[in-house]
Amino acid sequence: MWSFLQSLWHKLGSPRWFYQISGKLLPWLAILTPVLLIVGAAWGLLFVPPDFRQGNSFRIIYIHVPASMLAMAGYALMAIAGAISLIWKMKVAEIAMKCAAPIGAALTFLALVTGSIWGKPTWGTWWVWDARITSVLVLFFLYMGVIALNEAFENRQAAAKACAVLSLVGVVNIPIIYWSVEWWFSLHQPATLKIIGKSTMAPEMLHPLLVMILGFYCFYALALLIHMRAEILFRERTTQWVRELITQRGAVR
Amino acid sequence: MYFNSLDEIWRMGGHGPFVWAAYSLTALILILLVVVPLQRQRRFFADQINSERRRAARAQQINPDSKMPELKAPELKVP
Repeated sequence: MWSFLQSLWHKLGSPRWFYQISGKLLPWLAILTPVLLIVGAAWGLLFVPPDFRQGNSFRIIYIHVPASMLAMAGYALMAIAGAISLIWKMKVAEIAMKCAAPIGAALTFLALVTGSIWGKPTWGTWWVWDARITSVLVLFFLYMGVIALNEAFENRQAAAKACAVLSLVGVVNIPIIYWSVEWWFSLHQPATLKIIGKSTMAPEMLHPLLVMILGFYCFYALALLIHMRAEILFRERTTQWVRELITQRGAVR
Repeated sequence: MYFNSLDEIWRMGGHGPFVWAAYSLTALILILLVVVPLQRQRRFFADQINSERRRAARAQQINPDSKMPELKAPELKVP
């Protein structure tokens, strides 16, 4: 078992191995993701009864909650990849950190905008400066900071180091987002899903949400792999195996 | 199905514009997150194949016996 894990760890360090394995995983994710998202969205939009207090606007929960969850989970992934690239100088981890930033920024933006659209009919305002919303806005700026920092350096290794440090420092924000609705008085409703204890949602409303969350996780994996594969090809463009891929493509044409 | 007509689905008791705006924006962003890197990869392959062909053409100019596809070399114009 230990030797298997060790060999897996060493293989993970190889961009070529990662490119090949992810290529096998990709078709499955490409089928599973749209199926889950379309089924979940249709279920949540058309088949679930409206909330007795919020009416139909509550249907935004089926994209707002999964997008917010992935925005936070994606940040954790970026920080862990950053730590690995700092400690072991693993190429694949460095690429994962770089590629996680734009995807995370897009999902955080989505969480903020869908929340804002939901807030207008529910709270009567597009925006409030309360703890939850402000801390998610900080998360968005952290992602943008990592993207900008990566662009700012001429030297790739220096850029990776700086991005890793920034993403590790920013991890402080994640528990703040998570517990902000309990620590401070907030307009934002408390968590609907709970890891410990019972969820405060009727099962008929909960099930499509679980489908959407699973769909968003698959989407995240899909988007991250596609981003990473494009980046791997570019960085490894002078290596033998990428040259071979290119001649294969050229011959097919 | 909860709704009775397409019109009801569209309006959702007055919340329709909010719900549909949120869902369309989500669809747009998710699609872009997949299409942009795929486009980048396609461009990468196209550029690399092109430069590979150019290199082959140059090699053929220097050594006409090499079995590379024939490509016309740019003419030098002397004014």
